[in-house]
Formats: sequence, structure tokens, C-alpha cells
Amino acid sequence: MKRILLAFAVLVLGSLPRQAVPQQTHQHPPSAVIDGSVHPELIPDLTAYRLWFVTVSHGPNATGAELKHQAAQLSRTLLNADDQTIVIGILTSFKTQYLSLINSYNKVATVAWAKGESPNAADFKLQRDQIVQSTYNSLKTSLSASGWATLDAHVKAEKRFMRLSQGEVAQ
Amino acid sequence: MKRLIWSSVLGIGLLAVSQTRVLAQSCFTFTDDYGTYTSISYDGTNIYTSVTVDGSGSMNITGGQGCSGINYSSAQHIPQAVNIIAAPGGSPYVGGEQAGTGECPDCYVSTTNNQSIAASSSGDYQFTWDGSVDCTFAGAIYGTGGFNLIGIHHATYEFASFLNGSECSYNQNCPNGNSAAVCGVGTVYAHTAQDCTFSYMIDRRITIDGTCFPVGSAYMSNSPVNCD
Repeated sequence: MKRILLAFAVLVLGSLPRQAVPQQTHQHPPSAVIDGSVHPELIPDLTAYRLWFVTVSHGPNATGAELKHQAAQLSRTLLNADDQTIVIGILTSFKTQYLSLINSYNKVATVAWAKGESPNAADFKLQRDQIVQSTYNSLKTSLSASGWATLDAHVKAEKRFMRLSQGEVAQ
Repeated sequence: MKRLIWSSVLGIGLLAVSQTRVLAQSCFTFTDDYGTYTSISYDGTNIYTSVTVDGSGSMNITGGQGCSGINYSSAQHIPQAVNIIAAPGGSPYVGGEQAGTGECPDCYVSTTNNQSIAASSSGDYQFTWDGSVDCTFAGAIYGTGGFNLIGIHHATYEFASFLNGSECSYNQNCPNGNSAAVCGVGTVYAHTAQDCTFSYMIDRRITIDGTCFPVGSAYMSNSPVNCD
């Protein structure tokens, strides 16, 4: 009996979160994930732009801390000050459209799920990608030629810090 | 002894939960469509990191044996982004886990965990990150994580020559020897007449796992600094 109780105790202690902070990660499912640091060529450009836009953009009511964070992220692109200002404006518009689309879709999807139905995910992803593509086009036409080349190179280089599930790659 | 009994009760509970998850997972199929991006930057004072989880899944209920009676309507998918930056040696540290809004299994989720820490070139900072999506029925359905070492490095460049009226070049010249510069690049350029009046340009770069990255954080000075 003691042996069984001890086994349970070991099981429980092993499942408790550890105190050392850097250990605060999850046990992950065995689903395949594309690692951009190993295979950047497997990450589509549009997906890379979407993840970069989502991460660097803020809504119109961004806090001072959020703007400082964004300034540091944009500084890493090596864009000049004028081009950075243009990027901020375009990304603010992106964030507003992106969140609005997600909110609308989730309302529809939640109702559909409750009824046992499926939402039109393909149509949603088409609209999502259109927002990303139009943001990309705005940046390309609004930035200086050298600024656009610099930004494009930066975002593509950032693929090394991206991970995608297989489903995302297969789109 | 009491503690052991409590532990055993808790252990039985955990087993029961995991059993439910195994059962639930056999009752449906799932396609995940998620992405994670980690961003690292530096502004001369702070290191900034972001962890984004963005995407959606598609869940089809197969309704196999033993699946009847399960109420799937309450199932939710919750994105989680772990972002922790620790100073050299592990302390102090900032950040932790941030859970986004739970949404229905076919919904789209997106969350970003931003953190920053005051930083100097005294050693490598530890960036621990993790992006995942948890299903309240099936447990973790997507996840990826990692660990990066971030270093801050300086290099001094001395004025060399004018290229034209408003641009000039600076050559690496570290007071403590050029070999001390981890991220030195030989020659750098200033692009305004005002900047070209200074004797030195001090360039700051970061290393991520030993690879140098410019961060657009150089400044002009009339005094050199030791390279590192």
C-alpha cells in the first residue's frame, strides 16, 4: 500500500510547476511544427508578414509602453525615421481591420459551433489574407524604395524566429 | 502520512482528468493551423521581447464508441504565450504566461505577450518562450517553445573621411583592441552633416545565440568606449 501511495506522490510532485522561472514551458503535443530557424523557405512570405504585422502593430489607443516597445522593434528594421512613421500609420490601420475581422468571424463561429455547424473558415482566411496583402501593398507603395527593400529583407529574415503548424504551411 | 494520502487523492484526480482527455480526443479529429513568432529588440536601455500565437483550428466530432453524452458546446480553445526575460545569472526576471481569450474550437485566436527588461552588456540575458493553444476538452493541441541567449555589445568607430557634404565613414578603432568587439563590422557610415562633426560613432548590437544583429541603436560621441 505504501508503495502505491509513494508512486502517487511522485506522480503528483512531478506534475507540479517548478520554482525556477525559465522552466515555465508546456509539454507539447507531438504535432509537426515547421521551425523557421531550420527551414525558413517553408514559411510563406504572406504568413511571415502577417505574424510580423500582428506582433508589431498596435491599435489607435496604444499605451506609452507599447509605443516604446514598437519603436524598438521598428528600430531593428533599420528604416529611417520618415519611413518608420509611415509604417506606424499603416500598421495601426492593419490592427483595427484585423481585430474587427476576427471579432466578427468569432461571433459567427461561436453561434455555428453551438448549433453543431461549421463556419466558413475558408472565406474568413481569404479575407484575413486580403488584409495582410493590402497592408503589404500599402507599405510597398508608401515607403521609399530603399526603405521598402530594407523592410522586406527584415521581415523575411525574421522567418528564423517563426514556427508554424503543418496546417498553416499547407494553406 | 496525511500528506501522502492527500497526494494519492490528487494523483487519482489527475489520472481521471487525463483519462477524460484521452477519451475526448478519440471522439473527434482536429486540424491545427497556428503560428508563433518571437521578436527581440533593444533600444539602448531595455531589451524588448514579444511572443505571438495566431491562427485557428478545425474540430470535427467523430462520435465514436463511448462519445455519446459528451457536451461539446462548452469546449474552448485558449492561446497561451509564455515570455520570460531573465538577467545574467537568472535574476531579476520579468514576464510569465499570458492566456488569451478562450474561444470556440472553430474560432480564430490571437495573442501577444510583450515584455521588457533594463539591460546592459554584463552578460547574456535568457529569453524563455512558448506558444501554445489548449483545448478545454483535449488539452494541448498546438505548442512550440524555445530558449535564446541575448547579449548586448558595443563597438567604437573613429571618423575616417567625408564621402560627400553630408555623409562620412568611420573605421573600427576600439581603445581595448578591435578583437574585443564581438559585433564589429570594420566600417560604418553616418548620413547627416551634424553626425559627421563627431569623432566617434558608438554602435550597439545584440547577439541572439551568438549571432550578431544590428538594432539601429548607434550614437555619436567625442569619446571612445571600450568594445565588448
